Amino acid sequence: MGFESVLARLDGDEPGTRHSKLRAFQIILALVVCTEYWTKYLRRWGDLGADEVVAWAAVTVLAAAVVHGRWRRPAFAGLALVQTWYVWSLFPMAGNHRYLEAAFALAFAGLDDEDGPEQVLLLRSLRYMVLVVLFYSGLQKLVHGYWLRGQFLAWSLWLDNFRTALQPLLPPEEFTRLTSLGWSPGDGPYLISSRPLVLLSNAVWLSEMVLAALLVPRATRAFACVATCALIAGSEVLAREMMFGIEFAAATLLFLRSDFLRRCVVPAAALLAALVLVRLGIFPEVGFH
Amino acid sequence: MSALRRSVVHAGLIVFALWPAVHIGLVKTWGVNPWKLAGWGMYSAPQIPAELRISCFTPDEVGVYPLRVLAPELEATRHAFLRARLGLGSLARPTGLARALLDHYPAIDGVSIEVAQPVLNPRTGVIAERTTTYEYRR
Repeated sequence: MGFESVLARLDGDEPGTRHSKLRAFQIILALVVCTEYWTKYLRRWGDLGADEVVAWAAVTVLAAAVVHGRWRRPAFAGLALVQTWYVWSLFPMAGNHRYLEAAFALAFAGLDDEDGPEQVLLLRSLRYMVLVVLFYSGLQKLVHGYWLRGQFLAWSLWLDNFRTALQPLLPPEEFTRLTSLGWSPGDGPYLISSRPLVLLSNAVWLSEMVLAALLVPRATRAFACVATCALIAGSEVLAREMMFGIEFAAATLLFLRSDFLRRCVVPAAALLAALVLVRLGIFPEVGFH
Repeated sequence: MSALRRSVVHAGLIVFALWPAVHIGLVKTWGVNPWKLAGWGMYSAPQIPAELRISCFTPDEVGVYPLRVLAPELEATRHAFLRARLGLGSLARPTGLARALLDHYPAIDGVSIEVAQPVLNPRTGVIAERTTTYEYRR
């Protein structure tokens, strides 16, 4: 059994929907990347280096080319290049979604979304990357051991979003104790006695690994797709990683047989536009990454 | 589609799946940040920045003294090291900072840089400190 047959397990599309799905994902991906630069750099307006201004302008033009469609492959090559520059310029502190965006963009640049065999391989590759990211997100939480007794959630209470969301799940005295802890040697224990929260903590890593597995068989794919999107939406309450959330949910929807993703383009674009308007101060401030 | 193109894509996808396993090894062995470097370990462990304790060696009878206040010109170098350390763990060594210190303070003949890394022990849930000391001589 070769690698090709492993990838073939990820097939499963209604006839004639592959191109439509890929185009929808291309547009969402390009808009996410563009919005990332706009929301990040608008906040630092007046404090940008020449290279950052060039990257900002380049990403805007390249995203427009992807949306237009005619020059999408060279545009994706450009987006992969800009994301590589970004990762390099912030090395080693660039967020993982930048690497993922570079990988997605590279796939779109290297494979023709209209050519039969390349189109099939392109869709398989994108789905495969979703599985890898989802599975390892769970595995990393398991192997480092900070989610087994809720240690990570206890530690993360120093963050506003986590504090607000998790307070109802903790007894008041435990919440007070955990939020008063520091990061000096001897501080702790960052352990949670609340059973619902410990269960939630373990459900997160387990869900990520199991859902990655359930995305493969066609029989469980639709359920896994919906559940993964629900998991992403739930984690947004805590993490507010809006760009990664939109992008990864869109990538997950590539697994659906139908081209439902096409109907998500306008809502995703509207949400991303709203985030830019937040940064411009036109919409009220909400914290997001 | 050419066989070469197909093979390149396959190779890329295999590396894409193997790298996070290597990354877990880097996290376990050298304290690389699981949030960074495409290991997909976001939110899997606390990220706590390290602190530095710097001492200078002198050739006179003083011998060694702690450097309590860093010259403002060296702040960017210190910050760059701490940032690299947060991402790369003990793979990031303070060689550049040591060189900058030796250049800035010509009277000293060596520096000791102690990196104090707070670590949350997952078993006890208590913060511990892991220290590594680097010595550089002129």
